[in-house]
Amino acid sequence: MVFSSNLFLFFFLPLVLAAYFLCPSRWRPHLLTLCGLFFYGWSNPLFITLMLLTTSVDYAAGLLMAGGRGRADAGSISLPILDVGGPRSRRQKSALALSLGCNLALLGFFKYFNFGVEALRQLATSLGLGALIQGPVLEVALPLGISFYTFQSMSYTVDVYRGHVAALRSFPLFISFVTMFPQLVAGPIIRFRDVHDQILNRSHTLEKFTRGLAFFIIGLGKKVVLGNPCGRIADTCFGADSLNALEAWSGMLAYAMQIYFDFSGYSDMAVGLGLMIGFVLPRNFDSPYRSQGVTDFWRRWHITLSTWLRDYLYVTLGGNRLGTKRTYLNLFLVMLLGGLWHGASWNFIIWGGAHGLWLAAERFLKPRLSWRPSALTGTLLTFLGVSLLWVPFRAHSLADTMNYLGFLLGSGGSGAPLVWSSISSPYLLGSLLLAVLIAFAGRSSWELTRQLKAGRALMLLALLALSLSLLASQSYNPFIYFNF
Amino acid sequence: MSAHPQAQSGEAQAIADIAASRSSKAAKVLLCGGFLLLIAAVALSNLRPLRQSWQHLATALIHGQGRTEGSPWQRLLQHNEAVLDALRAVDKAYDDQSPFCVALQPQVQAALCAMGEGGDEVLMGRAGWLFHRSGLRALTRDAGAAQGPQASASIRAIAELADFLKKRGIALVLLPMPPKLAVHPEALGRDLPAQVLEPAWWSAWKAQAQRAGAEVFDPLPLLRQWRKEQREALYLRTDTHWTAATMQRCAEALATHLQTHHGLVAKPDAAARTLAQKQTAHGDLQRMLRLPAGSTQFLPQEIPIAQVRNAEGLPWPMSNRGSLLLLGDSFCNIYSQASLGWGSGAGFAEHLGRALGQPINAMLRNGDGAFATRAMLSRALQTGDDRLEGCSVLVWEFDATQILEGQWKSLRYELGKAPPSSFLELAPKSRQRLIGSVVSLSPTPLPGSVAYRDFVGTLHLRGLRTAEGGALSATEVLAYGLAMQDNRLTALAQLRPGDEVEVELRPWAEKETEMGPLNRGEPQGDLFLQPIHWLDSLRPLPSEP
Repeated sequence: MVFSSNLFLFFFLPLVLAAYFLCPSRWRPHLLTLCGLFFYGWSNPLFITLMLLTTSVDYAAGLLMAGGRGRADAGSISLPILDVGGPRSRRQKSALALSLGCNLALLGFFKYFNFGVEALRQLATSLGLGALIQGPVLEVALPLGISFYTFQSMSYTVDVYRGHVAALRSFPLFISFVTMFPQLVAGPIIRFRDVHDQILNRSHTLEKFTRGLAFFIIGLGKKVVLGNPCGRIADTCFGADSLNALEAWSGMLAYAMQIYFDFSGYSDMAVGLGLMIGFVLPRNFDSPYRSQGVTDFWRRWHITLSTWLRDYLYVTLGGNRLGTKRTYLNLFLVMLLGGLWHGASWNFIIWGGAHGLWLAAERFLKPRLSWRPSALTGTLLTFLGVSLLWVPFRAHSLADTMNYLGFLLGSGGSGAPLVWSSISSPYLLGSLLLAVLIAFAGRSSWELTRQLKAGRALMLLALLALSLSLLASQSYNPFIYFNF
Repeated sequence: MSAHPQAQSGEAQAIADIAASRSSKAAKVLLCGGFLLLIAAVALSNLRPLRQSWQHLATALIHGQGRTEGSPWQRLLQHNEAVLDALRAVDKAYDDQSPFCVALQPQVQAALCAMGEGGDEVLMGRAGWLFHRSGLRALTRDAGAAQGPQASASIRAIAELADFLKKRGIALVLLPMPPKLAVHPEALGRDLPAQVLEPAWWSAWKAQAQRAGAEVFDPLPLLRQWRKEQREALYLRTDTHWTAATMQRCAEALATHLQTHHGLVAKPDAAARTLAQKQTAHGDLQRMLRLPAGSTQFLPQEIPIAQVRNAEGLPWPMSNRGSLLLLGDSFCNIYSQASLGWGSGAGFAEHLGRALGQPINAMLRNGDGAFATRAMLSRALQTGDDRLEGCSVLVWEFDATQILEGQWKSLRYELGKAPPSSFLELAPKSRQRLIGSVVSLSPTPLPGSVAYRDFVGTLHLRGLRTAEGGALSATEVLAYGLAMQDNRLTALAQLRPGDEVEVELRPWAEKETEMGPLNRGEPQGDLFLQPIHWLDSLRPLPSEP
């Protein structure tokens, strides 16, 4: 179920809100869990079992780790917290290994099995051993949002082990954290230690609810009013085998806008829904296309993923504590794995690897170069680099990527501009232009919703009406990050 | 990426930011009141119309598909599949049948059209022209597409049919119809040339098809020549198809070709004549936009058509046997099937028949040209109906965009006998009223999302008994019925597995001429060879408490 669907808006949401506010507060975690499972199971009921499995393993691992320090006081929801940096028993280490192993094995199997088999097949064929791996191979379906909830659930056991948070005694509370529907399938990725207090105790105010609504409406508008038409342009351009330079640049720009408004719109809706039920979710985007450098970009784009990778991968690899060369290598490796997190294909590996190289190069060059670009030049250069790297992210294969990059340089020839004729309607180009203006000069959702007066509320209602109208009329409503 | 700990975590910053929220009382009332009232009102208005889809979901959850087979794991998967189908149906119902969406859609689409945006599959051109997006996709693929998986599958399917025909001494002639955008590109954008465009993969694909044993009667050179000769457009303005005049010229050119190259002997009927008529209609692409009733954004187009009559002044006859078998899609039907909106008795088969002076043996079906008519032929042969008896040429017409997007799965061509089965088979001219339980129904397209207005679905019933409750020797039955009529879903389309229905049936042969050319969802797997009927009436029975 996606937020920008009629089913969610006109069935799930009103029902959940009514049930939530009528429900006594001590039963709300149970209610939210049921809602989360229903929401998740809508994509495929069978995948609920998978989520329950990882959740149960992580919960048990948390108990095992904390249990190593003795029993908690009767009646306490949490178990005692472990010492930061203190020694860990064999049982605690085994519990962590069990959690990480289970999560990574499931993620690896469901997300990377098909890719691995295909890579093996290609390798064997190139070595003349293709006959050895002929025949039907298991085709594994990708469970919705597995990358998101696995990371989220895993962060719990790592934090318990590191002594950053206390293990939960209550399974209903823990599962309500994992299955929290606003951010279940596409983030923002939340860490247990950051919402621990909110799970136990959070406030519900009209102020919060109103701001949540404002976030939700802005997110819906970003997705439907801007993301979808930009997606239409991008799909047309990336679907063609030959493009002139104007079409290729339009397609690349449109994809840059689509992925931003699609994903940041979804994150805004998630933040809004969270606020409606009392949760404060972290900011996931901070006007990323205004970044002045790739390091800055990764502080503003998919912030919760960057933070997760920094805290659980970069720091674990040694971060910048092991010397300059190791820092560069760590940056590269983290981004490479970040690319692989998005999907199992060489294109994502290239995308992540290229970002890693760029991060390392920027870190190396910055103190050594006397030239400093102006703010505008820095922003434009960063946007150009990021947009070029969206090409492998969007293209279907390496060959398609190379072709598309060639089209940008004018290798597409001068055939009839069919694609341009089909994407240059006032509606599509107007939407793209508006998207660019907002991405570079608009105010962020956080700023826009901070102070709400009647005029802005009316504008938000108008935006809601426009979004719902567009939603009612067209079935073209893809959501990019659902694939991850 | 930086290992520097931030002064404040993202969550702490968010909490601080939310704590700083300030909304005026008016904003709170407006936003909360407006939003909650809206979603509650729409949710309530959806309850009644969408109740049925929720009931089906509940049934699927409890009973699955009714009968599951295999190991417990396989049964679980089958049950899950049934639930998934029901979930998709609920989703679809919220998009298609919600009164809110139904009321809003035409007005919004009209506004979008005013800004140059068509629908999901419709491209807006200049001066009131509309195009199907499949044409754009076909024209923007490069020469390598001829070696792509879809095109290769098309060549395999062609080779399979050509091999079979060759054994019976029958030639296979392909007639792939170019997309409208290839013929009138200038109507999409002012920068596009006013000339026929050939898809980059076209020549390579034609060469492969010829190597596979088929001859390609390529209409592109003819269309290119006719564009130079005449001012009138060759395709309809708001429809996917050609004009009647273009179709007639193509039929005549093909007839000449068949006489010259395949030895078909023309027996001109001197008394045969054509009856000129004017037809005024909106095209299928305009209908797909689902604009408000009475919208004047796209004006209807008036065109001349020529109905073909025999010496007695009757419509040109069709036949089940002949020296030529024509397989074709809506390009053949557009002027012969009244429900397509452009008249009747003036189609491609009629004009080809007149040009050859003989009744045409034709198997026609709108849409799915890569598969549907091949499947009809395969089924006829396997059940003992030899439509190729006395045939020397098979002409297979299909929309060329199918080469890259069609369903080219392999089929068996083998003359056989109808297999004995537990399925009901009515005697000719008989009628049967009975009660049964729905096993499956072929998927029905969303009205307006496809280029046609009518759709025939296949219903599979089990547990048969007479309307009076008596037993029947057969336990199962297959029937075709209208699942979509004039862009509206019928009661048939609303059925779900497990529903009990009372139906009245007649043999399919009695309705085949009338309903056969409509787009159709075929029985799957082994069901394909079972006897089939026509659904004269259908009444869902209330579920037992």
